[in-house]
Amino acid sequence: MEFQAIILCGPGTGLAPLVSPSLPKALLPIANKPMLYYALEWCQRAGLSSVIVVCSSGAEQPISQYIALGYNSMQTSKSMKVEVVAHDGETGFIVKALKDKIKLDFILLPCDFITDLAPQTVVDIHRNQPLKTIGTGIWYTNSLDTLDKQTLKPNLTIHTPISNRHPQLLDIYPRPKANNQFHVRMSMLWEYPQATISTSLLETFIYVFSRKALDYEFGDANAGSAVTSEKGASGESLKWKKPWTSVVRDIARDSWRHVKSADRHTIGMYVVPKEASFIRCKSVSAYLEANRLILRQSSYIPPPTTATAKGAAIGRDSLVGIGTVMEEKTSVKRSIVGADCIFGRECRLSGCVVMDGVVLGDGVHLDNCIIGNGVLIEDKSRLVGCTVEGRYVVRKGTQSKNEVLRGYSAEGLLDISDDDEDEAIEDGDDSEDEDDDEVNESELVESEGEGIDADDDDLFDRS
Amino acid sequence: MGPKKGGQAGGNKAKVGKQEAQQNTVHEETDQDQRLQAIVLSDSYQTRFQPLTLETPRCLLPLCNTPLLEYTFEFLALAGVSEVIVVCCAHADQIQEYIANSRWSNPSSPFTIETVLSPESVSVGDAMRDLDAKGLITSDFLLVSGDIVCNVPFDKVLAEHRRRRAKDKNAIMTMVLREASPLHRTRARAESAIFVLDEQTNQCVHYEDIKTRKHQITLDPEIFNKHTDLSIRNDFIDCHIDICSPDVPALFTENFDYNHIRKDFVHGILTSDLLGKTIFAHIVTDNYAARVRSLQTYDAVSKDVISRWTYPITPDSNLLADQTFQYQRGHIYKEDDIVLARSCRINSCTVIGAGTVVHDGTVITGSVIGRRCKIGKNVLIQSAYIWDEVTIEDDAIIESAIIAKGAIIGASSHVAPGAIVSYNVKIGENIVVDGNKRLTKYPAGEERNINTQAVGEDGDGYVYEDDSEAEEDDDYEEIVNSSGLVYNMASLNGSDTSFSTTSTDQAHRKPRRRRFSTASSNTIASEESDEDSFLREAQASVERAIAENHDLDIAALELSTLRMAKNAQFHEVRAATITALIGRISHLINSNTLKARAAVESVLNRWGPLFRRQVFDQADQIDFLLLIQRDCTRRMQGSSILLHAINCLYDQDILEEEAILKWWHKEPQRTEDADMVKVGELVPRWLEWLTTAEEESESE
Repeated sequence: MEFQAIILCGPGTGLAPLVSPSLPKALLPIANKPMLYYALEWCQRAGLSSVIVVCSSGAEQPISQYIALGYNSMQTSKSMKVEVVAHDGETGFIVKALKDKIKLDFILLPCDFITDLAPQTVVDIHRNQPLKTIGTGIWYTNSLDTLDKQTLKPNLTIHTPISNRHPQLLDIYPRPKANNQFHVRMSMLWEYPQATISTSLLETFIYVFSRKALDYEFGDANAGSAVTSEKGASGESLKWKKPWTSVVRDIARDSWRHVKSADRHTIGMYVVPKEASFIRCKSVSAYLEANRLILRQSSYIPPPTTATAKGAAIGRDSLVGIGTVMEEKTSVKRSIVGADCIFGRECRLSGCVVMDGVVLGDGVHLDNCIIGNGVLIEDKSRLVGCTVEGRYVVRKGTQSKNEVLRGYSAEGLLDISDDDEDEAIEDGDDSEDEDDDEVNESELVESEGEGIDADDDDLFDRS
Repeated sequence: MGPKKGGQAGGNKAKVGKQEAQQNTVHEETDQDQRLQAIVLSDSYQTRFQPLTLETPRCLLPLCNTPLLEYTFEFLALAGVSEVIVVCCAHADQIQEYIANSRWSNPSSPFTIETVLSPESVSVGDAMRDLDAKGLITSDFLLVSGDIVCNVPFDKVLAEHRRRRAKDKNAIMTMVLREASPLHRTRARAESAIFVLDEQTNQCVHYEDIKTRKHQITLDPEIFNKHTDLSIRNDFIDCHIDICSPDVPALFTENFDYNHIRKDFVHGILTSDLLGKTIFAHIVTDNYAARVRSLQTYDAVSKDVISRWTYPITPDSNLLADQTFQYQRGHIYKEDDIVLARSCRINSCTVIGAGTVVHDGTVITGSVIGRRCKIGKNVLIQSAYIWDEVTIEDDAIIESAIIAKGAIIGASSHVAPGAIVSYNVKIGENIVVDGNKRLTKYPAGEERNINTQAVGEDGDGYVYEDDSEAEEDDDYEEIVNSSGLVYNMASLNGSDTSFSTTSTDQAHRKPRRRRFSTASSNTIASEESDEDSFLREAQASVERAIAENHDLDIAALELSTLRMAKNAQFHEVRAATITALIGRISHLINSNTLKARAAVESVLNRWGPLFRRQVFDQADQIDFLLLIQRDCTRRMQGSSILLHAINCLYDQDILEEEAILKWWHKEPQRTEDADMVKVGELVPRWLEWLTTAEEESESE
């Protein structure tokens, strides 16, 4: 196999309060298996021989532990080498810094995707690209109605028509705010007279790149113009100090901005077809959908429950972990229940995700809820559409709808601050992209303030 | 994805049901009214073909020996039009006469034809208002100009338009756009535009015409909420072939400041939320459509017709009854009765009309020769358009030029590429006609220096100088010449604005003259007070717009209403707007709210676009600059306001580099007193930046 994979594990800011330092996003269970498992399994199916898992330094310990004890021990063949690297920094910079470890063309993956898109498809698309295409990105459109649309925040993706033989990425912009006008550069339109602005495309963050992309030199008139002033090697690597999405965007922009260079590199594009499903667990509701998707996909496995009291009904559309005990008249439908849970009598669960070690009292009704590890829910509680943080105790008779129940423990507080620091590693989050541009803008304003040397190269300044 | 699809399907079903119901009713309607009207605008409201159009209307100029109008009629017949209304403006008598004698007036003609006089119209907008007033339009109609060459089968376009109309009464217009490459030779560079379409429905959501040195187009983020995938197209050839509903002329009447069908009307409809009308595009990929709207496109379309891109509309289909063209290998078309000397050479892509005589040793390549021409010995004709009854004497050389009917080119003369020799001009012997010269015999106006040197002593004619040539926009020449694709003739392009300010003013002046002189016996005095009151009122109107944060369109409309009511010049409108805006800026600065730069930007970014409807050509821009400069002399920090204002307006493409430079270097008024000089003290630095920036962008 001529590819190598890099899996970037972000902090999962959107998944609060489910994630914690001891349970980073990559290890959050989807259908009782850590998220990372699916990414690794996808690589395995692609036939890759080497995978680098990058995470923040805080999450390194639990993740390497999982790889060593959990993942590797499960695999029968050890054909795929998995390596964990801790790195806190912008994703673009991480990739650049891994240059020594990357020997082949590489596939960049997030840790939080669930798809039935075959890895072979992705690899083949890149192989079939014309030579000047230095990398290919995969985008998807959200096909789920149940997802919270607010959390998706699609960018404006400008590309050549998808119906073309080799669609090409031209530019990415954060969606402009209501009063900001949106500009399209004429130089792009002369180069690519037929361009499409998509408002619905979401980034899968799956990128297949040639290794030579690591030696890519950005055009001089780049967005981070302040950086260019520092010449030399350090200046060059500084240009990578931005989210990977921005790196891709800048390469794409270079493809039309420099008219003279004939051998411009381009970024290819592929949109996940409507027949395939693709979910990124960037929000709680997406996480729930991912669980359901796996449930639908996996052929029915009899619940490996060791002790089920008579009278408890577990639907064939549900998954229950090892060691879970259920009392009489409890029913579980369309749900995923982790290991070592204890459910009381007459509990009803439908469409829920319950993690490990959860204890339910009698007569608890849960509908479309996510229950964290080790939560205790006392008798007669009714929760609809709630998210409960790990170790939380739901008092007797609580009735809640669409709420997030979280304890304000010291641990919880730590969580939040950690998350914020770790933000840097977040894989090209949209919000960050925005920040990135805003920085450019303010820099430009400063330089303009000195006089009218406002160079016209402030290509992407939006005022 | 299941649920969503289900939801959509459900929704669709409901819609389909409704559509069916509607379609039924519509079927009845269309059954009653299957007749399709076509409006042909015979006038182009432009001066690009002058001096040729001084004597003949553009639509009767021959293209491959057939008048342009004939191609348009052929297209309309193909499209299944049953009623044609030709709107005549300039040279109406000639057009009427031509139509009366043509086969289209015969009983066998596929459509009925009628001419309507609209002598006062100076723009498409005026013509439409005239049509609306005359009440001639009864149903959806096809709007074309009299200079198109097109072989698009129209039934599909029409069916699509009617289907859309049936679904939504607000879909008032369908534009037929042909897909091409952005640098295509029939794409008129000066008038090409960017269309932003919804990818699924082809609804047009944004229109922007391309001006040179425009670095970006600006979209309203609102459109992203309504449309998921937008396609931005810079590769359309827009021939202004539109299917319009009767609402279109009515809307022109409602908005009496709309002149241009695209720049004003389409743009206005798309940007107005109030009207709620929609415009769609129909994209043509396989067929041919082009409009002869400049000399550049005249050349390009001629070549396309000769090389049969426009099939079945080719010379050998003999559109006119008396034509006898026959096709020969290598795209050579010859009529009967041609006398060719044994040793002359006719190369490929050539059309020769009946009765023409070509003598020994002459070489003709890629050219069109009219009827009854006499071409002498050893003449070289290359890529030239020679109309009927032209005499070319021995040893002459003609390259890429237009020689109109009846002209005589003397022996050994040389007509360089790009020249135009108009009707009956006689050029003497051994004369070199430069490529940028246009020669005419048309009686010149008074006080014009007649330059007869160009035609030689025994010649007849003079160098034609267009009034608008002074205001000519050189930008396009630059683009056109720099791209090797395009023919040099393009450099003949006249002014690109579809109407000049002066002519609009005059036109409005006559019919709309209104006097408040009932109280005053002195007309002149009333005129003056008129002007004063206009300035005051216009200024107040702009100030009110700023204070109450009006919509830009509303402010612009208010100004233009006022201008028409008071019968004012654009100069005065500009003066009033500038006074109001600079006053606002100055107020912001003096009250220490904002620094000079920020104040200028905040005001001009919001309100600068007002000037778009007030400043049209270079003379306007220079006038505009002088007005700003004059106004700034009265202000605190006037020099920095001036500097930032110029920068800001330059960025907005309201001021062009050419005009700024001319103002700075040439305009005597700029330095007429000390105040004016002082206020401009900061400008040189900016100019320096401008020229360096320009060099950079050119080298890019």
